[in-house]
Amino acid sequence: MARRLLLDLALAAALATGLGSCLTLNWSRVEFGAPPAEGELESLVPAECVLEDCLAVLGPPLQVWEVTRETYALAYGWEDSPGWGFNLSVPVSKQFSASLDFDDLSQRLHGAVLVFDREHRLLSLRRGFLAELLPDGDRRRPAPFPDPEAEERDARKLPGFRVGPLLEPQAADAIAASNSITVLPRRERGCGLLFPNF
Amino acid sequence: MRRRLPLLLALACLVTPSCFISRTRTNSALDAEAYARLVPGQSTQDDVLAELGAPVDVVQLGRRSAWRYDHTQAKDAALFLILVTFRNIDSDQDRVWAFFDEEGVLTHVGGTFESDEAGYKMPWQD
Repeated sequence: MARRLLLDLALAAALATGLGSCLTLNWSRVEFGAPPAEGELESLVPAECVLEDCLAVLGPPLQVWEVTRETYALAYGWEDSPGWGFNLSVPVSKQFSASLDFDDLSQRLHGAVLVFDREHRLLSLRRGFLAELLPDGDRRRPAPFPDPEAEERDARKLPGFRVGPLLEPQAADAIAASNSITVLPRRERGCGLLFPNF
Repeated sequence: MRRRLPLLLALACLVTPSCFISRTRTNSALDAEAYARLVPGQSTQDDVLAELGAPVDVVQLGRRSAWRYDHTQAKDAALFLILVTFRNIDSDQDRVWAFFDEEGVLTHVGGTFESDEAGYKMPWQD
């Protein structure tokens, strides 16, 4: 009886170790920063709050970028996601194997994007998955400096072109249409060069 | 007991080598006291450079700018039990953003210092 039990255990161990090479169950938890306390985001009311209020409530953002000439945005992100997942790797030839990973936690960063005008007034606040708020993963390129002379010069070249202030799109739409941020490469060592504004 | 000893040894060999911890740090830690010496409306870019050093990132906002400083500490702990894996990654940051006007004067600053709060733990631990 004991010998049979030992054999069963050995067989189960061998099977488990064999399966372990292609199938694993994961309980992973990723914690990054801390989500805002309940009601904190709701306390930031567009057209009433300014940058100073937002920094006081939410702290420093993850990223800042220029949306248009007149607006800029702050992105906040946080994560605390305990959850089960599994990895399955199926050998398809002698050299290659196809892997499925259903536990991609990196795409689950929650966050909020706040847009401000030149006077640092809050224009809009959107919250959700940061990957959805920042759709394409590329960093927003700063808008060019306003150059009235160049605009007037270009206007002369294009008949019917009216010189005047640009109509600013809705801030939220601007975010959706704009490039967003990227994860910067880690800087192990280096130096920064600073130049004065022109 | 003697009969079970080989089995226990085999199980121990399977389990004991299957855990790891690692720590990843990015950039140098930020000085909270230096941050406290920054005064919006008074401090300039030169002052911020002197207190915090070169920023990690400079964002141009028209003729104004914003500088980012950060230091990240991530602690990763995992335990592999043949078919089941437990893993926890706790990542926390020191982070400072400094906003400047067209003249290079600090207008707003925000900072958080939480990198020391990262810890090694299992997914079920708070």
